[in-house]
Amino acid sequence: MKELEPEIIRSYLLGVLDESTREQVEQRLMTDRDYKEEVLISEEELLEDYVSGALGRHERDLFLKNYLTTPLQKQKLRMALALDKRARLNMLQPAGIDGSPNLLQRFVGVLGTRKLFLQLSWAVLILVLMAGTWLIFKSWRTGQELHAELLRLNSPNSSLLDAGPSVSQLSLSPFTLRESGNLPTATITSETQVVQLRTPQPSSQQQIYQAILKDSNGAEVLRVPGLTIRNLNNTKVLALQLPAGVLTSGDYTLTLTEQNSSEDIADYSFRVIRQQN
Amino acid sequence: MTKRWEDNFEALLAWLDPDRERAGDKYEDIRHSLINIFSWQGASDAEDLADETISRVINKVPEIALTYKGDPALYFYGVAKKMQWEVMRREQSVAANPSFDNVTDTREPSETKDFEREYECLEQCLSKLPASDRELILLYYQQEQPKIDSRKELARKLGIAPNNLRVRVHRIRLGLHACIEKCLGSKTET
Repeated sequence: MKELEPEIIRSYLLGVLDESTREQVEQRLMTDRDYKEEVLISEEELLEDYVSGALGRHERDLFLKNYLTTPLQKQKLRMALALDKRARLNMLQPAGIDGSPNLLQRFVGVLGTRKLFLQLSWAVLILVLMAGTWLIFKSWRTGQELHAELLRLNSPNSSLLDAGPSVSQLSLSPFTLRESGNLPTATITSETQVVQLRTPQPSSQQQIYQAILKDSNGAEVLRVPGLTIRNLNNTKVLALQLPAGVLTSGDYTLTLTEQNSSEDIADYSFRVIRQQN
Repeated sequence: MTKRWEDNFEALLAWLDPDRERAGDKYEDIRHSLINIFSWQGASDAEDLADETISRVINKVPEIALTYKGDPALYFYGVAKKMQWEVMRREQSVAANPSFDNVTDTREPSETKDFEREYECLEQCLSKLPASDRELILLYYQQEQPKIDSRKELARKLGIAPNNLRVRVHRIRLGLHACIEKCLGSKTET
């Protein structure tokens, strides 16, 4: 067997190797720690590809039929999902691991200088930076809270909320034209906390989708990845649950794409009316 | 636990490696490999099967240790293969279906009640990691598509080869996994 062939390892994990090659893989797994580590890394990458929707249809079917059959594998999948969710939440935070110089140390070094002009310049700069940081932090925190709320409302295991005073529910149809003037309309009152948009199952066979919400000027309002098909009374729907606070009065377009593709699958138009109390 | 079993277990460790610490590592490594192999072959009780395999080897050690040639791990593998066949035949006779071909409908595998508990544990365990490891693993998994390019870029920034980055993240992840299992265990007990 060739050195660490990734396709052989993946075929092994997907349960499609012939008996003899499978034995070779397993014997090497038992005796070669580097090889075993490579198989475990390949397994993590397979799980990651499944979670992100990057597996092709054939591989996904094999994954579900042959790989995801035991409690251990399901636990590994839950960990991959949790890590994916946590990493997406982290996307709003600055990374800072790129080895850039430590600004704080530079400040301290310069403040230690005896030159008055330099000290005053740095003092002014620090004040400006503090004000800027506060503004950025305020905006970042709002963004992070929104992101966390979107994840909470739309993660695969989140429940679909029932329509009621706090939940405005809207079923969207792909054939509604904005010009017709009969757009489906969500009314937001002071009690409304969540707007739930439901669309029919897209014709694509993907299991994970991304929703992109745009305002009437075509500007992107938000983007929610990782949406899965839900089964409601034997009808398959895709649901997007939005905190009511992100929507102002106006017309919107909801675009669905496959998780890792920019190609549109379906567009839906709808209107939001905010009632002032 | 009988005296004979204890003697055999000591003989097993000595067979794996004359150094007791290295023998212990090797034992754990073999057990971990067996659990994974059984699980990848579709056995839902992989841990039990791995332990049963080890018990059988322990019982045989006095006979084979002096004469067996080669890596002891392969002997364990041979016993495990035999066990796999036994399990298959047993299940064939019960259900007329090979156990490793059973198909479960898991079309919505993510919808499980355990997810939230695991997510909480993940948060706890991430907070216990050194800051640099936490930052690295989150950055690694939040890379935009195509991931292969952005991860190469990340490896370049860190000054390491892309494959070394994969291995480094995997090792952090192993630690996280162990921490999460411990956390879930303590949550079950309470």
